[in-house]
Amino acid sequence: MGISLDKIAIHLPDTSLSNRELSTRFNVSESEIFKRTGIETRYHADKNETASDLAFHAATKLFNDNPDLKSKIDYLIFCSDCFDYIAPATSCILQHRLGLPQSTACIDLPYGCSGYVYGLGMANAYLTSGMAKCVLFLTCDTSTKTLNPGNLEQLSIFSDVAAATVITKNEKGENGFIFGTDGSGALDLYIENSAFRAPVNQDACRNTDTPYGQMVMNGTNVFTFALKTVPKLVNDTLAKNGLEMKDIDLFIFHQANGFMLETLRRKLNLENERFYTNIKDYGNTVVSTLPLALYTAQNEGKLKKGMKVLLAGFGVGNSWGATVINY
Amino acid sequence: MSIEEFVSKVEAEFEDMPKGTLKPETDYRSIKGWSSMHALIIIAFVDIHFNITLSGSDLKSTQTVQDLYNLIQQKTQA
Repeated sequence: MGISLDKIAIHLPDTSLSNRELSTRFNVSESEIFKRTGIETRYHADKNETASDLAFHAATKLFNDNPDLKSKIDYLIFCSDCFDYIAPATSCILQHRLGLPQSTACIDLPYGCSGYVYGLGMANAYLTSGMAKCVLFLTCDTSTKTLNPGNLEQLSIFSDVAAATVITKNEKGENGFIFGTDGSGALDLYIENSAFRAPVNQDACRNTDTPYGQMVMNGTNVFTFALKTVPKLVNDTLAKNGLEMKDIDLFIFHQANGFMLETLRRKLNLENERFYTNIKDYGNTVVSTLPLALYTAQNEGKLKKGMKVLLAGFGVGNSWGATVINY
Repeated sequence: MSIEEFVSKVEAEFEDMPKGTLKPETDYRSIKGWSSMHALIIIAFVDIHFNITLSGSDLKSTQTVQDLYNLIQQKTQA
């Protein structure tokens, strides 16, 4: 028994940031920005728009298209690094705002790049144990609110997009998950001055215009972490599911950075046709990269029902997770 | 892989680098237009061809292309 990803909806903020704008602002050519990132467009939440606002819109699209769905939801997971409050859980606020049944269990999952696979793992546990029948899994980060406006590396990569996924039990076939963590590198990518360990710093806010904390990223360490971790993660996930590389129809990895993805593809000796990327058009949307890629791959006809898809998430926290989905 | 082949293959990875720029004795960080992206390109190249993941501090311990080559040889034999 495993899980089925029944429906996915996406919400993009109104504001986007192009390489042309970055090129003008930083006096670097558009081609150089693209070469470093593989990205042409990224999205920014508005100043007063939170991750839960974007997630609300994604879920609303799902319910508008499927009017009978709302009453069936009995578990809500909201995965983000950008919650409305430290308490209460933002998922509780979303339950009321979305008009979900009061019998809905609500939980926040504070995770980034690997969060989608962690959430699928939780949904798998709830559904196969009988704890839930229909899980609504919302994902959104507004990481752009923590970027230093003078940092081209960060600004050229990160993006805000929300996704809503409906997950139910699949009687045919199981989903083997692999998870792991190397917390020694947890501070290679983190939001400084953002909570109890190091509270919001008024001077940093004034200097960077990022009142929610400031992103700190050691790009080289994040890159080497991915190179060390992902090939083994892929092999372990295949072994756990009793599969080989040739059995997978589509590989979808966390869309971290175009150069990183291409390096991983070459290292794994994967042909372009089975290695899906959409980072050029959306940037690194942190926790939403995997559902966004599933959504666009399906719209482009590259992902079809019945395909075996290997999903791999890796990043913030130096954490990783992967599984194989029977789409 | 000989040092000559190594130099030529690394050079080929840098699309914007004219042929013949790199030599074993080249202090690679002093090349005009050098950026952190070039360091990532070297890390990716070494990872794919030698199955060794160099860290940022590994790179910092080298100055010339020959140093880099020697470091890889050392790690391959370790």
